[in-house]
Amino acid sequence: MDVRLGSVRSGWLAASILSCLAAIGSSVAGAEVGTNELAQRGRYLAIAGDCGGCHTRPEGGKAFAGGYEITSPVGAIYSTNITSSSIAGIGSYSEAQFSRALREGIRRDGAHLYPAMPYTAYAKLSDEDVRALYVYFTQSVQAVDEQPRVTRLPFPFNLRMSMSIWNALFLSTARFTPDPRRSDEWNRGAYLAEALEHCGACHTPRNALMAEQSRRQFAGTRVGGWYAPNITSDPVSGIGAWPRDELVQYLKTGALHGKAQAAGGMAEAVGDSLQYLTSQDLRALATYLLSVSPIRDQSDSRARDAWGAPVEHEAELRGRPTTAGSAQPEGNALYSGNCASCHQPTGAGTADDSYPALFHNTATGARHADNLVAAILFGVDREVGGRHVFMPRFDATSYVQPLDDSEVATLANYVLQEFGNPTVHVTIDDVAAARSRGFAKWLVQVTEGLLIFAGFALVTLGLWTLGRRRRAHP
Amino acid sequence: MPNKDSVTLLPRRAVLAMVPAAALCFWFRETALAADSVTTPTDAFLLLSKLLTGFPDINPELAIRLREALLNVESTTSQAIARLIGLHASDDSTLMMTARDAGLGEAALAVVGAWYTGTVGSDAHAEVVAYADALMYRTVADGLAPPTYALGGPAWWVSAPPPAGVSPPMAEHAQPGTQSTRGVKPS
Amino acid sequence: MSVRRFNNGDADADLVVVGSGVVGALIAEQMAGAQRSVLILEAGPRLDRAQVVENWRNLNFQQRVGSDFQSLYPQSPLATAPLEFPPNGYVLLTGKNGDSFHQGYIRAVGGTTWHWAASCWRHLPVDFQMRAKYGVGRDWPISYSDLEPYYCRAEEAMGVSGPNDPALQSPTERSRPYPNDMIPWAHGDTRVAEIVNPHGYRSVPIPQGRAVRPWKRRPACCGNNNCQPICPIGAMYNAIHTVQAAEAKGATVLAESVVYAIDTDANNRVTAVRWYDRNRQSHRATGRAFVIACNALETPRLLLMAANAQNPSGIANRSDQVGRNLMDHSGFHCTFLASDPLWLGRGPAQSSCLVGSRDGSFRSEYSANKIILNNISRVGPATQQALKRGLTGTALRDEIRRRTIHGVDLSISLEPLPAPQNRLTLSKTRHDALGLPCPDVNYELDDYVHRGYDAAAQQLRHIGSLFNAVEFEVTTSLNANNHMMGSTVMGFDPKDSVVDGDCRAHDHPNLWLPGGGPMPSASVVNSTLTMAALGLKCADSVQRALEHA
Repeated sequence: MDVRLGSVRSGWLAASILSCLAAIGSSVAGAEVGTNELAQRGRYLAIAGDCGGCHTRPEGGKAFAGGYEITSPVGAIYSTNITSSSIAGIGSYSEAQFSRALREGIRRDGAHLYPAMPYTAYAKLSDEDVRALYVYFTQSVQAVDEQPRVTRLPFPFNLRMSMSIWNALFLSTARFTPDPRRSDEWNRGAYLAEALEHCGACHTPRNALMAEQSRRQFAGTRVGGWYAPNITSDPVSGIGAWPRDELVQYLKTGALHGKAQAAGGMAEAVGDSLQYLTSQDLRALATYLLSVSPIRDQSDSRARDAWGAPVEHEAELRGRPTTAGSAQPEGNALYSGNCASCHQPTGAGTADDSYPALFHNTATGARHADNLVAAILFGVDREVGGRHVFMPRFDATSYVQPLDDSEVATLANYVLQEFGNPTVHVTIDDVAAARSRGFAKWLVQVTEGLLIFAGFALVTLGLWTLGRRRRAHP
Repeated sequence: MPNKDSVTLLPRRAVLAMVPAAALCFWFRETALAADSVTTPTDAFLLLSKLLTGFPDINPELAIRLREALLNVESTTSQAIARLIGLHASDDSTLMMTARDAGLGEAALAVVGAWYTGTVGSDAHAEVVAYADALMYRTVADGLAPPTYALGGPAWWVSAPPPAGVSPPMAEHAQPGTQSTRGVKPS
Repeated sequence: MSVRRFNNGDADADLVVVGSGVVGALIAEQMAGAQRSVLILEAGPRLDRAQVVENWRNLNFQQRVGSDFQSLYPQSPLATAPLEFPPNGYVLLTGKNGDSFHQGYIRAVGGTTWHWAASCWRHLPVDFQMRAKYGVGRDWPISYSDLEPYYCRAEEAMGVSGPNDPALQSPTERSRPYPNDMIPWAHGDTRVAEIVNPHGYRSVPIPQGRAVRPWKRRPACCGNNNCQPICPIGAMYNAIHTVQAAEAKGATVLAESVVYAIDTDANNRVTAVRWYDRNRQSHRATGRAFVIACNALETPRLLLMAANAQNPSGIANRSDQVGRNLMDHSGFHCTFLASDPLWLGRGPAQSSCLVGSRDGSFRSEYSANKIILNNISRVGPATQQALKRGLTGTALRDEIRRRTIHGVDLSISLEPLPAPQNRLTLSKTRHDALGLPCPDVNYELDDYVHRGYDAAAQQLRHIGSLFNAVEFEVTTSLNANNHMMGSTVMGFDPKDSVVDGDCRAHDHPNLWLPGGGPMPSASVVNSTLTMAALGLKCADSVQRALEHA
């Protein structure tokens, strides 16, 4: 183990532990028994790695008891119980077995984990950190003896062994190595981003075989119904123009007045994980992000937070029968009737920013309208610092007003024209596609991956069959 | 020369020339204003509105709609407004005195009422030209939003309201009896 | 289990619910969740919230200031609901106090909770025993403790925020805390309570069907103060939420389906209801259990209309009580300008209420009262008053501001007693677009209410003095409150009541008539939560009946 890394990290971590104990509060308190220092470090790491994001079922699931369902076109994938229970969890795992699962994606019984588990990122974790996580999960996390539902995908997706081929191609087993030319802070940020927070799992585009393209690190890509944007240091296509303090504030709170707000998977990342990092860790993360090689998309003429201005059409709307709710609703009527209560007729939002402005807003200024459409369909749900930020959904389950694909497209185009990037256009098909991809964790990418994976499975099956035939016919 | 401290909507000569000819009101509205090449009928109405309402920054787009609605109400109203525009005054009180003397008091109040309520006319003839932009809401915009719009996020209303900025109500001459209401006032 | 539909448009379900307001919706949701096939027949259309919000913004000033909460709601031409601007004369009102019974209810999917203040009050325990305790009115055949668990379930279903401090509760008897703690008060509520409470008026937080945090996919209340015409953001409980929940559990809703006839068999069990669709085609819905939850005017109207050979005076009407004992909280208003700025209009429409006179021994002589502090923006009335004074310019601006921030409107509710002559009957001359008879309502109040008015007016004058009020006015005629009750009254004896303690019709073992109609006493508080509780009690009864069948 690299001594330098160890000394850097123990310094950081000591500070982290001391200052974050209060910050973390009761988010995982219910699962705690015992307080030795290693376990505390493990708790912080578990938050930084957002294990609970998948292993704790939202809305009432017991901490780390699994059972979170990810629906895919090929079936449901359930997260596993990683509490200290020896019956249903990992209580009787050895540290070596724990490490193998975490960093190589192989269960104690030898089966491969589906790439829903981001072991390609966790592969970079140091041994020290893996030990801390192991102690935390096997000693501190409250045992839950209930077995969650077991994932049973149909053939050929149940051939986990085919992951071995994918791993052979794409899994790097190298631990994180700090760059000696960079500062301690930068290295800490790099470790956080790559080994723990696994930002690239959402923000880095993947190749045809669903592996992250390292040459396009953080260049942005579609994730389920949302779009994880370019967060390279490019000032136009990425976040290069954001002052570091603002980036830190965004990571900590999920909101930046006049720029951006976190929704979808990022709302979870902030709410489950980033809001609990120490200020030092957040600054380190920001430092690292602002140094990532800039990647420019030539069709970006302006930063996505720099579009639009207040504009209103009250004088056109008043005293005339509204087209909202009619067979041919117009954009300004849909906006006025569904959105203006909170976002105001001018799109300026409220003075306290509880309902943000729609101009100078990355959701409306981006070249991809995915996040605007997703916000309309699925809403925004973010709990940070004890405050619950919530925009309701307008999909078929809306308790405000369900909007159909045509209405959402008309509304989105109005918002883009009036407040955002007017060169971006949304079609009815775009909305239908977003609706079916659904509000899902980044892991829904797995569904596409599974199809590839099925290909491997068939290849494996073919090779195995061939092998049998050869043995039968010496 | 127009006194630069007053809002002169027309040179006095043109006003005096017009007064005897009620039938010329229409001509006046469209033509005499053109004698002052800077001022269009809409501009003139906008100036009148700013004076009467006490709001110097009113929406010109709304002024167009509101003026059209007023002109649609009744022909006498439209003529009256045209004449109003021809009056000379430095402030709204003076304008109102002059207007009342000329029998134009009601017309002036109709303009004011339309701007403040956002509705022109009443009953079957009511035309809505504004809701959130109705000036009545601007009088308290620091502490109240027009209903249907949020002033802040959840529980924003627990914060202290802004300073009053006006004197408290005074007792007026006793109003006769009590008003009776009819219709539905559910609670 | 899903509803069976036939090629001719007929349907069959375990449970047929007529009416998709809060009561019908809650019952439908529970029964669909219990794996029963549920058909909801709603006379009116589905609504688009944004359209209704825009209709309100496009409504002229006079109608908005006049509290026209009806015109903005689209109606089916085949299912008329009352309109007042101008009056459409759907309900003919007669009697000394007919003019105080102009009810505004919505015939559309989701019913009348599209427009209300979401005040979710419980009756007091003593309200169930007015006759036994005070010698007036009627007793319920059930007690407060019988209904208490259902109050809790209704509060949960509607997401009620109420005070968990017993000192602020009315009543205090409850077995579970509110789902959310009280909606926090604005300056106006706090200041009024400070001034009146030392004098025993007891201003308390109103339990409300909204929350200041997201609640089960409903956003948090943002205080846009528009509750009564419509909540633009769906934070306030509207029964459409429960209708959607019922549909998600498998219930089928047929909108624009006007039920007009009820078929019974030799045992006087209901076998089917018949309805007209939007093309005036008649269809039949057969079922095992039937719930009619159309509000306390439309339910008796339907029951009387559906009179058949076996039930010549109307369905469920052997007692001759269907349509009788009609009640609504008689209302009036007190307005004044206070000497302190109260800034009413910040937050939801009604958040505090004076309940000091909700109960007392005087109730054997005259009506109790409650005094709601209307937290509705006073800008409209202030503007009317200021314009009437011929003001312009900055004087006008200041006067509107002055009247808005100092203006107070109190809404007072009085308790009527059930009287058989206060009743709904079917018009012999007026018919709706389907040829069905329109309702006639006769309404007279007695001295119980008038003396209650006098007592309340005296309290109001005292309250006015506490605020150094100017332009103090108390309205002299009584207005409606849209809380229709009593017309399918609940009782032990089938000879003088229509339904039992489960809202089951005495005359028909598989027919239930829940809602405001069964309520034998009005108390002074808004009826919706009690109606919802009765609906859930009814749902349990329906569930048991279907299980035994």
